[in-house]
Amino acid sequence: MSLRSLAATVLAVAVLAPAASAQTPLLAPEDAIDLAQELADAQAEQGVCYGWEVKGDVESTGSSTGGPDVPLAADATSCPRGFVRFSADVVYECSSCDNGDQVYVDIDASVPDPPTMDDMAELGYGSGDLAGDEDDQALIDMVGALPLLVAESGAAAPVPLERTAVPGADRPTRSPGSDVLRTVAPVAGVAAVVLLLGVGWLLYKVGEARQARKWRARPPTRRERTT
Amino acid sequence: MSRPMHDQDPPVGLRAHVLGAGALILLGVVLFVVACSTATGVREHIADRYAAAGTERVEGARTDSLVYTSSERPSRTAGEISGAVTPADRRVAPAGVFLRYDEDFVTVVPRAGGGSTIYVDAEDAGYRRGFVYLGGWWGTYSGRGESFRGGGPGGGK
Repeated sequence: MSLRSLAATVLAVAVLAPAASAQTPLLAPEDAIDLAQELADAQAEQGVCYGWEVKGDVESTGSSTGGPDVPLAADATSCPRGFVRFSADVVYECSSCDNGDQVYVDIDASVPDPPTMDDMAELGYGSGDLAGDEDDQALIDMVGALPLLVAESGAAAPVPLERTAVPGADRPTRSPGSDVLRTVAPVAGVAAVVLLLGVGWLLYKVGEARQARKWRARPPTRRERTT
Repeated sequence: MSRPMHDQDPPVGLRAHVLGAGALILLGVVLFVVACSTATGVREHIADRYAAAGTERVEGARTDSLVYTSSERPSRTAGEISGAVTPADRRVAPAGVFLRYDEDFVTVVPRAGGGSTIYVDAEDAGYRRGFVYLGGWWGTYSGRGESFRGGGPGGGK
């Protein structure tokens, strides 16, 4: 390697390194505050402390003990019934490698019968959701599920449904569309493929028959006449 | 003497192809119709499967909500309901699970003594019931932007 190309490489590494190591926040600041507050309310109700930590290509940290951006600090006074910490390592697929997105999830807990990823699956979430299009909602829901799952195991009391008056202007938006169509979508997809195959087959064979008829209707060639 | 070439490949079998293609088309239509006719709405599914426990009116709502109970824990109950009738969206919060359907919101929370309580609400009532958790997700929310205020000492009630 020449001195010039070595210098270029060093310069490129120096310029690109900070950009490559920069991590994207997974949650918007207000979402992180809401999640930490939900966990803090659960902690007050249950005596169990909760926290989350996501590292890798995206990052997010927070806890019921310190709020957003503050890692869980579990002590016997604040957390008399123990703690549950949700950790994930998210590495997105790189353009030059064959591997897909890699997500490792770990739930570390000191409560008996702690939540597992099987419990998350029952709620409709898997580790892959943390690398999906709605990764922020997946993280909020998976971490938000921890107090519910702890209550289900009997390790702490359930968190009561908090209610508040709805401001007059606030209302549900977006009609999500037909429940029947959504539920039958997989079967409807298969039905559509079968139907299209049938139509395609029919059109192809009718077209082929038409061609053959046209071909038969043409005057015989000189060679055919002589044979 | 051999026959002319154009007489050697008549459209034999076209009828079989038409019948085969027609059968496929019919199968596709039947599949779709059967799937649609056997699919139930979430209200019917819950009424068929869970024990009715009366009605209640969420404060400010225009309609009563239906209440059911399940002997299963909330995550399993919500999983069963969403497996049977696919929700458009879902939210899981410390207090319970929320499922959104076309015109209904379903809320599944732990029940004292074990199992779950299921609330089937019209949109407006469901949004009111779960506003703390659903505001800004499934509707407008003007109460955002608070700072973290903590939760006080762990009581472990």
